[in-house]
Amino acid sequence: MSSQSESDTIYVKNKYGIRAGIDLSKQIRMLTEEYSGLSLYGDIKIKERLFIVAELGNDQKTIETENINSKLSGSYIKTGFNYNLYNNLPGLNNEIYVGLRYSQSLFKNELIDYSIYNKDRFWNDQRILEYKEFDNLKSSWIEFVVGFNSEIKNNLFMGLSLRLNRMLKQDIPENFTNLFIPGFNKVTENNNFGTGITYSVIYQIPIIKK
Amino acid sequence: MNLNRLFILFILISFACEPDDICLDSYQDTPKMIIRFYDQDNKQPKNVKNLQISSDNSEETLFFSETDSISIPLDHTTDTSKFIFTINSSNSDSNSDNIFINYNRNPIYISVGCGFIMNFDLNDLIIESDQNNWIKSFKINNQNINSETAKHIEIHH
Repeated sequence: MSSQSESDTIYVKNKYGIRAGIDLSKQIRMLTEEYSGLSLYGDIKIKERLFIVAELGNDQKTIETENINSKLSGSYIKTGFNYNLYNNLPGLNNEIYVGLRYSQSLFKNELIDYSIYNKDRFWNDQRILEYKEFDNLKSSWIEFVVGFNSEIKNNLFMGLSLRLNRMLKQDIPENFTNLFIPGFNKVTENNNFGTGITYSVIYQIPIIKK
Repeated sequence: MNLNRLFILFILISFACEPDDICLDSYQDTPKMIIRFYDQDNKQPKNVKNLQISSDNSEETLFFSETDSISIPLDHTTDTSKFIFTINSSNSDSNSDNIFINYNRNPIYISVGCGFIMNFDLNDLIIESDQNNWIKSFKINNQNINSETAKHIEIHH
């Protein structure tokens, strides 16, 4: 704990204000996967260690497995808080935090083609092209977040976070499944958990200084 | 606290693998149509001998040396499967009948690893008439081909 007994407002500059950022992990994924997306980040420090956080984004992902081609696209919003566990030296503004988000998404699931599971090889094994579209699907989940933000230049932060997502509810299309949900990422069968990672650049808009 | 060390830890944790794409053999695949053969007169089970089954749309053939019960796969890409049923196929008295099987198809989602299977609803069976049909009549016992536990069709000969 830093001693603030000789509290001199010139040295102890705790920044309060709104921060806005972008999750660059999406742009990195766009280079390596059939994926596109954008995620915006915003937070506001309401107490010494507490930040209210909102994240907004959209994802579009094409899933190609041996048996199924499907495309998922939609938007999501995540709201919650971060709690900073890091004890900064006076004047520094780094965070190692834990956080929680309540997340919701609205998305579309397109089934493009699929193969029929048949051990018998009498007929040729053509894929079935049967386009189906499932609109207005909703899902909600909780995210447990651990991460850090580090001030690399004045008012400019770089951060990394890891998320463990616990599905609460998802609309499952009739006679099909969601292989991916925007914001949640990959959905595995018989498992309510998912994971996420963000790599963010965040800028602090200095409004209030105490 | 060393931020670099934390960074490396995060990267390592994020590469987790998920073996979700395996199709277990225990899943039932697309069911075949089960045919049983009966005597046309006394309606008792009656074997067919050296039955060869082929199709114009397939290079494969099925062969049954002597049995009163067979299962055959239906074509999941169209609503009709055409078969040529030849009995006594190795002899000079072989006899071929053409059979058309019409059905509706219902794909059923199983899993990422297995994909879909197809179930069929039988509509009708057409035995093409020729001078000497060995198949005298047939009967649809179960229209729904969603399992392989009981006969779907009886053929009388």
